[in-house]
Amino acid sequence: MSVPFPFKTVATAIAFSPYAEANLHESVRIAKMLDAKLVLVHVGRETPQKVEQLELLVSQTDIDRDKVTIDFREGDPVRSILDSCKENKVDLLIAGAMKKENLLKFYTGSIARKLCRKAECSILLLTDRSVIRNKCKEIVVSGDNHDKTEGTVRTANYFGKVLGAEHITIIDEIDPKTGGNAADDDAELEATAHKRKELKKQEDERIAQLENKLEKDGSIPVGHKCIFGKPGYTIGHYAAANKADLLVMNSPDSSLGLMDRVFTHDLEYVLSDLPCCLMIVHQNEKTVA
Amino acid sequence: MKLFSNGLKGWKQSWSSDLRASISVAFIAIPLGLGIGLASGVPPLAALIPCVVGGLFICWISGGNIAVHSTPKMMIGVSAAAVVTLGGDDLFLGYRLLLAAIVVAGIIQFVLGLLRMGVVGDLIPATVIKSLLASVGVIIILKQYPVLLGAATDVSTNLGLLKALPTLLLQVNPVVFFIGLVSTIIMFAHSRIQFPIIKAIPAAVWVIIIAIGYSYALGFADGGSISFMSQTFSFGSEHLIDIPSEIRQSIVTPNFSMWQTGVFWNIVLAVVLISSIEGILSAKAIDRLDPLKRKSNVNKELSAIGIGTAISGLIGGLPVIPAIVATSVGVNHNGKSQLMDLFQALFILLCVVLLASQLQHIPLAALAGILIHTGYKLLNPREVLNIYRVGWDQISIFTITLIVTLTKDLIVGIAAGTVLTIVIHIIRLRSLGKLFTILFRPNVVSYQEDDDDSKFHISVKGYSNFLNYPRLKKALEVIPRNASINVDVSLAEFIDHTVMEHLAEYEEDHIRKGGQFEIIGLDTHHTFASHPLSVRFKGKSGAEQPNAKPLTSRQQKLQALATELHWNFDSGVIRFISSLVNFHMFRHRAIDRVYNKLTGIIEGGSILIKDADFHEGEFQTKVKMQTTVAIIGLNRNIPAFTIEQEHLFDRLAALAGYDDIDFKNFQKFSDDFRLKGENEQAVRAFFSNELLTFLESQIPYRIESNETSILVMSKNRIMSETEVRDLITFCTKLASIITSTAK
Repeated sequence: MSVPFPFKTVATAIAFSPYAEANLHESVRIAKMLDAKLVLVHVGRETPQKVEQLELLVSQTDIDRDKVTIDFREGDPVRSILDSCKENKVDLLIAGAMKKENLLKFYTGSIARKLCRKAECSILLLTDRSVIRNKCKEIVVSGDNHDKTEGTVRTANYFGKVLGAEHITIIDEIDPKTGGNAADDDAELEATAHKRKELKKQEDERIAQLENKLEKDGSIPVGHKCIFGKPGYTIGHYAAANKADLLVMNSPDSSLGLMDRVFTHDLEYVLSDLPCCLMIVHQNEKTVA
Repeated sequence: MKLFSNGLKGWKQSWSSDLRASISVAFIAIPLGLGIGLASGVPPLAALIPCVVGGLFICWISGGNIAVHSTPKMMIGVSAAAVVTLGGDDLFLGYRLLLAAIVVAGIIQFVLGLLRMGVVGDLIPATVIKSLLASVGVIIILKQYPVLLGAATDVSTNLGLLKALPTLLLQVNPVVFFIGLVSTIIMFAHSRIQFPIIKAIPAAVWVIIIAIGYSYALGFADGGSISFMSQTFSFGSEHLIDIPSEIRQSIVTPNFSMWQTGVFWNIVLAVVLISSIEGILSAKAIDRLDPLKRKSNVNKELSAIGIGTAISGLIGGLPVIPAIVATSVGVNHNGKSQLMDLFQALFILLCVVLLASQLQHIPLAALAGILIHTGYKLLNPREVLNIYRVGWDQISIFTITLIVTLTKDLIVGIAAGTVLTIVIHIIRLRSLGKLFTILFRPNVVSYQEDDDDSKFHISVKGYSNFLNYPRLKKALEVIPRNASINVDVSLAEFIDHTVMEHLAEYEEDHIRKGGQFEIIGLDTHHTFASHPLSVRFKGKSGAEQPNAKPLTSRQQKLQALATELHWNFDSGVIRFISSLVNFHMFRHRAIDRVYNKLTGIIEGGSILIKDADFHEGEFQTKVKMQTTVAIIGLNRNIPAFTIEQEHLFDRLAALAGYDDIDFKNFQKFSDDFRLKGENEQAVRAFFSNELLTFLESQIPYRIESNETSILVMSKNRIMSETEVRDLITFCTKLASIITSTAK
């Protein structure tokens, strides 16, 4: 199984707004933590004034200039950003969703959704409580029964170590329809409880294997829960209820890309109501060193 | 708690108590049934057919465990108008067309049950349902008061009847009105009378007996007249109920000729709705009466009553539902299983066949008296006051639904009330889009916090109202009985009254079955009014919590008493408390609220004294009571027993096989008190001479032990502070004797 880490190149879209400086500092900080190269994508025409402003901003940070690439693109914002990521072999795209700005609409509106749906690299969506600026204590990662899960969980572990996180919880969402949902009377209730217990046991075994793999990577303290609930929604709500700092999920299966709102892992729910910072992990051809 | 198996095995054990209980049930079902039939504008026996069909056919396939079947009271609101709408002047034709609608409705209900659509009952806001019940109450009273007065009238609309009150009052027929008035008085006064013999026979039966007697005495059947105050009042068989002597004449087949008209399907929809709503509500209420705390399968019951309704309709009867009144009477008389249903059906059949000629002598005014009492109970003024306290939003919904239902019809009323509720929510949420998220997004997550299998945490996010309550309900339903549940609403931005009420009901049921339940995260919400079930919302606006009410003088005295004893006093209202449900005394009496708690330590354990409001029975048979109880929590286990004052009736009960444990050396105790306990040997060993001497010389309290605690209560009213002092003295001495005998 190919895992998408380590992140060697990160990218962020940079616009000329009051928050550009803050945005840049954050991206620089994460690039340094990952010891990665930084690509700054600006969607708009390249002009000498803009180049000068950007160079000035970059020089005010403490990153090596030769680790930074500035890329001007024109055209549709989503397409441009994604093309830049492809060309520059970006591993992690960072997008801000700071609610105070109109960037909220820009990033967490349709742009963020499209990026999340179409990106071919991993994405980190930052909310007001950014895990880069603030201490990341608790990471919640999806542990659903899916091929991509192993890669995602190991990525969460890797990134968590970079951030200095204290704990990871693996959340395994089980669709109630498969688990038995009938509880009209005492007999049905008992049958359902029994069925669920069986399912949980199976899932616990699978997760235990996952946790073993993490052990080999050297892991932060890990816990797990099996929750019966709608896949895609449940993990987001759990993260909100438990005040998690970072939520890590699988990327959508591209084979369903044509059907607009239909994801296998329904990011739709999480994107419309971000509980905290969100990382969507894309698998790729790289293998762990 | 061992659950009774519901099949033949369980029935073999309970059949004798079920048989005895069903006699009382049948006695109350007959007058009620006749009344409902009359009020519904159909032949009186049409309302008894569902009881018989239910008992004979449905008890085998019912989703309930102790439900007795009868016909919905809300039919009164629908069928009288339906008969006229369908048949025009020909009431008999209208009746037959209504039967066709009932058959179709039954089939639809059967399918709904199979599709597990029972949850639809939760999709109607709680206040709208209460308003519906109240509307039916008003309709009954409006339709029956002319009959009570003995004044004839052609007016049929609700508003018209209201306007006609002054005119009709002047047309009163005293001969008829007299028995009507007496019946009404009996119905209202019966619950206040404590005399055992009078209490043992239900009010409705007294009414029938007295009414038939009156009718014979004056010779109603033959007709006659009395001169009174220079006016002649005639009376005759037109004032008596019209029951065919040939029972077979009551079997009427439906007429399906109008099945293609919109009017027909309108009525089918109405029947499906009210029958399902009242049926599901009753099934849930019956679960609370079940002494064995089983849960009925609402969907299975829906299908079962669908079949029953169809069969009933085919032979001339009204729809079938599980009846809360009949079942509560049965449970109060020690009925334990579905067999009550079967036996009551047989008894009703027997009575009607054998006593038809006597039943024909019942004056309509007497039945009107019974019905008006039913209507009053449905109207439930105290509940209306409660709704007012929950908030202005609820009382507006209630009032508007009521007015629309009375002026138009039930369906329009339900629709109006539901729409108004949604509109108020939209105003509160300040957004139409949020309504869509409510409908289409999940908002609940349920998981176990630790690896402990029995602790569940449910988090509710966003907006929670009657529209998405089924999601929350599903999460709650799959949790096992004895589990401990925390419902965390701190992420919820809006919770409507229906959900608050459902949560409170679920809390009560869950704790009653031995689990634990707590709602957390409610402290930071604002409410419309300072009521526990008020709508909750987060946000900028919102009132400060108003100051707590000042203590009453009794409360102040209790507070002083607590200080004197170095105990603790809490005047607050708790909706109910789990410790009381573990005593036989409260097994089928529902506790409404508990307040004014005094807690302290005594020799041998701890003591808790509190006031409690509770009730027995439901609807017409509901009797509200208050008492002050003491619960002594012991440091050691003792045998289980109950001691109560022996009454005349109990001597008879003793003949029926209830064992009283007597002590030869303590004649006075044995005579005055009835002591029961499962383990006679252990009980005898426990009751030392010292204990018996003490008890013999005391004010008679009712005492019950459930092995770990002792319940002490005496009167059916709140105790004064002086009486509480006496109670404390008694309990302290009792606990000390028990402790010293242990040594």
